[in-house]
Amino acid sequence: MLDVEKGAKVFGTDQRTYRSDGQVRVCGITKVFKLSKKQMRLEKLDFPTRVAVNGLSFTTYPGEIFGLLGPNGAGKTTTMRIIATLIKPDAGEVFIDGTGLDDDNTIKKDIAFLTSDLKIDPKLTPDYLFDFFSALFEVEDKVREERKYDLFTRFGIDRFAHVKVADLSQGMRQKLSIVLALVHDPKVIVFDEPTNGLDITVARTVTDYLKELAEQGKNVIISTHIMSLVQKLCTRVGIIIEGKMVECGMVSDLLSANPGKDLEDIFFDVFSKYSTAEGGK
Amino acid sequence: MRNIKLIIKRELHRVFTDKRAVIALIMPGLIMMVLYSAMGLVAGGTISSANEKVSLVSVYGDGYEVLKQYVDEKTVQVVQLDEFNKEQLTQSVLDGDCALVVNITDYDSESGRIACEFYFDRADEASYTAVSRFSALLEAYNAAVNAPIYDLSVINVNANGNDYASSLVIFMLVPMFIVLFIFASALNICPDSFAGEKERGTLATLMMTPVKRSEVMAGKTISNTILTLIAAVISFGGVVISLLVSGSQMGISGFELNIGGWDYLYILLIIMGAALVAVSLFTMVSVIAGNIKEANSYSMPIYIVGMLLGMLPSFDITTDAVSWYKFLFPIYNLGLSVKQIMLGQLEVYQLLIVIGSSLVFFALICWIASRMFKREGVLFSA
Ligand SMILES: Nc1ncnc2c1ncn2[C@@H]1O[C@H](COP(=O)(O)OP(=O)(O)OP(=O)(O)O)[C@@H](O)[C@H]1O
Ligand SMILES: [Mg+2]
Repeated sequence: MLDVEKGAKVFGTDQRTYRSDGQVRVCGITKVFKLSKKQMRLEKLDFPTRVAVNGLSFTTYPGEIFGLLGPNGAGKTTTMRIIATLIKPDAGEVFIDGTGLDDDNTIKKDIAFLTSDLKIDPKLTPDYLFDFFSALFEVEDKVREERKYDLFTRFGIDRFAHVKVADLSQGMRQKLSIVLALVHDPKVIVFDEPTNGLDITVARTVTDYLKELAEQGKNVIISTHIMSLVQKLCTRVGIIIEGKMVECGMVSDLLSANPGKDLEDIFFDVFSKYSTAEGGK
Repeated sequence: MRNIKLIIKRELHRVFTDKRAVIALIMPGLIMMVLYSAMGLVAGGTISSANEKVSLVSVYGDGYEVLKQYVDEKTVQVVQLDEFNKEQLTQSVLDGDCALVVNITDYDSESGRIACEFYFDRADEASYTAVSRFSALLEAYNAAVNAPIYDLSVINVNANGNDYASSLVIFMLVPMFIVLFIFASALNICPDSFAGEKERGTLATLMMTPVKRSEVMAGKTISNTILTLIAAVISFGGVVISLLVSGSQMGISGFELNIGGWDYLYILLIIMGAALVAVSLFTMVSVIAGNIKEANSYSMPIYIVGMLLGMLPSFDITTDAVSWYKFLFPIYNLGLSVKQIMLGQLEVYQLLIVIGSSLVFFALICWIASRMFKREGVLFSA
């Protein structure tokens, strides 16, 4: 079983990427998309396929926030959708606590997937939606009510519990979508670009909560290209370029290995080193 | 099963807590009711006078003796002729001295089989009424003696007059309206169910829960069907009211518009069949399309073709018996069967064919749609 990215440089003292005792183990996943004729024409491509993710592997652990970094089109969203069981990889496998994703209806109870384009129905109320999702996750009524109270008060949704989503502010909606993704108290939280489109106060609430989740022992995986966010949140990062993991390790090691440079400089160096001319968009 | 129920509940909750959605749901039916009642009133007004009068019918031929007992003297007054002078009789029909001339050309006393000719004036309402009353009489005779179908040729004596039946064409529009309004209702409901959710990004949210795709598919198809049926039943109310308002019995062009009891049940069943057909088609489109706009533009051609197919039987003004296989074609058979009801000619087995064919069509399209829904690409509009 492939557990290590071949050719990926693992820096510093962190050897955990090599180990197979992680909670989420991404093992050599590949995803090739068929492109429509329109897409080919628009992007002036000769081949009707695009390799979005190319033999990617990494491992993450409970209690950490792992950052997937990479330029636009590197394959971050695709990777996260695969972990979240929304799409299936063409090759490779993902394990969560040793269970493959194929059994996706039980595995879904362990995962939450959040993204700026996962939205909520404008015609329903937060209260209704919370109960609806809890029911799909088969959360017990008593647990559900407690959790609803906790999360709603924490994110300030309680006052709007019976207001239709359409009438909520953008920030409130974003917070609600996070709350709704967590109704089942998942072990693994996959969050694609967590602060995308949020104002600083809401972004702060979100990042604080992510930290808290990690402290509670949850396994948080985020994707971003905002380096300040990485510096604040992530303990470990993996850098993806053109669907391949090129570097992976502790943020602190990355910084100490490049004295005098901040994260942005370091990533820029990495990108220029690994990206090929014909590569991703 | 539990998840399917949850999804159905959510879909219905979405609609019924939204005033605008509720109005959109019942609108086609309401329009149907108002429109049709208004037209029914107008038509009813023009017809009632002829209906109240007794029809004067001149009959020539031996076979009349056996028909005699079926004559309802309240509606038909028969003058028996000793000789058949075509010119003279034709003139009397044209002059309105008698409403209809019936020439019994053949009577087989063994089998009871009767052949006859009707001479009538197509521009005259009273003549139409007489035709319909006398053919009802023949049918009654036919049923009673269990004779083979009588030979009947209906001959128009007025070459210049406008067809009186064409002024009653609104009754032939019933099938068209039924198909039209049901398709409109389904078109109102279905695009939102998948394409709308994709557009809003809520479908991927739903797929993050342990619900299976087949459950989402089933839940949404069922709730689309329920909603369309609600709209359809309201439309049905429209049909019933309009038919009641315009009078339940009128004679039109050699056939009887005789709607009652069972016919309403048949119409309801056909409406349900139409709802299933429309829901399956538009739900499939909704699965394929990335957003509501796309769903609507893909649905439009289907809507138009569907409407044309449903209308086709209305344009066929012949009243001959219809071959059974014509009831197999989806959508076309809906218009056809409603028309046959209007003509009082729908047989139960034909209705069963229509319902069966609609169910098969529904199942087939739903199967295709769920196959498409299993493709992962459909989850994301990008
Ligand atoms: N459904 C799809 N069909 C075709 N191509 C796709 C599809 N989804 C993604 N791709 C392509 O795969 C590549 C990787 O996309 P992905 O969205 O994973 O990148 P990303 O790292 O999330 O980029 P960004 O930073 O812009 O969000 C891109 O070139 C994209 O165009
Ligand atoms: Mg992305």
